[in-house]
Amino acid sequence: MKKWVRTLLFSAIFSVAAFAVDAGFTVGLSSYAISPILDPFLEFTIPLMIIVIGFNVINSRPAALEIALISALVYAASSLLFLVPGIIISGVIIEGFCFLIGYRGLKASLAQGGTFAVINGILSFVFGALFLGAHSIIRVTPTLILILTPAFLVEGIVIGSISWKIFNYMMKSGIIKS
Amino acid sequence: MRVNFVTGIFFVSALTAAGILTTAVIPFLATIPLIRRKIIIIVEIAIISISLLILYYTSRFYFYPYSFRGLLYVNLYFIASEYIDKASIVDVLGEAGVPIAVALSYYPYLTSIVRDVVFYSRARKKNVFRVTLPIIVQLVKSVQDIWITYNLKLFGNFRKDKIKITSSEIVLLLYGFATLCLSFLLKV
Repeated sequence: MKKWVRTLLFSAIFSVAAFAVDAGFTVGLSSYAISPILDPFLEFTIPLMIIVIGFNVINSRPAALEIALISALVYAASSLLFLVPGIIISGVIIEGFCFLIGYRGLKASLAQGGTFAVINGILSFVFGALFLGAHSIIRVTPTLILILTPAFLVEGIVIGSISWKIFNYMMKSGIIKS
Repeated sequence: MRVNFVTGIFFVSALTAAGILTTAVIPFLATIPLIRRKIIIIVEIAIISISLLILYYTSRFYFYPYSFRGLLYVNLYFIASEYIDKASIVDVLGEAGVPIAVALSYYPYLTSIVRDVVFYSRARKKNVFRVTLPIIVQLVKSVQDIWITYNLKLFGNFRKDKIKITSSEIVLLLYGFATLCLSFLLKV
């Protein structure tokens, strides 16, 4: 039982599952084409919940980096390249502070949800506007980013608290051992 | 029609390459006759038509390859789980193939779970916590099952010396190669 194999296997399955739900949303509504704002707001509902529960379940050292790298690779394979830099940068930052406060717990899951939502939302908004080019309906301005940042933060914190509630239920009912 | 693991991998990789390198319309259309359940085909045609209507009315019709490419990968997982013989995975890869066989065999189980969740969603009063709870609990359980099967130790020699080539495998390989060639020739 090697520990790095467990981390790699769990992070691969969680990131692919999060991608599958996200692809279901974005393909069904084709939200990436309407405006770059709608896509992150849809991505931060159930896919973000799966990712935060994945951090809590894995609970060992390079979990955030591996989930970020594998999901970036999967998004690049479906050629949604404007989501890749945000995912990688947020993964590196989450790995940095999870080194200090740990992966599991209410405080950790709130911080993970908040940082992932804010960084990934803003970066995917900027890169998505570049991806759409002159055809995008809404222009990227600094004031718009300042308005959107609290909205992403609130959404990430709400999803983080719900995912901690689900994980706490799973711990108490004995689905997750250790 | 059951095929060998090696043939299935060649077919899936050929269609994936065609989906990445071209506009993914012809590979997606080629996967539809291989799917057995009719309800999946109806749902996918509904998704494609809704997304094409939205793209047409927002005058961004040149984004259509993304919606076909997303559904192509979903179809390839269904085809791999239906047509690949699970015993041949253990024959080719040995002990390391058991998690792959378990991961491929989750498809009918997951569809039954999603059907139950949709059926009982009215009783759960559209609460986000209550609707997502059974899906995520089953996800975590399946991840732990795959981790248990990774640690499984099989006794005996499972590797066969030679792989039998039947007519259905040649048909599937020719089908994959033909779609790969057609998607490069016809520019849709």
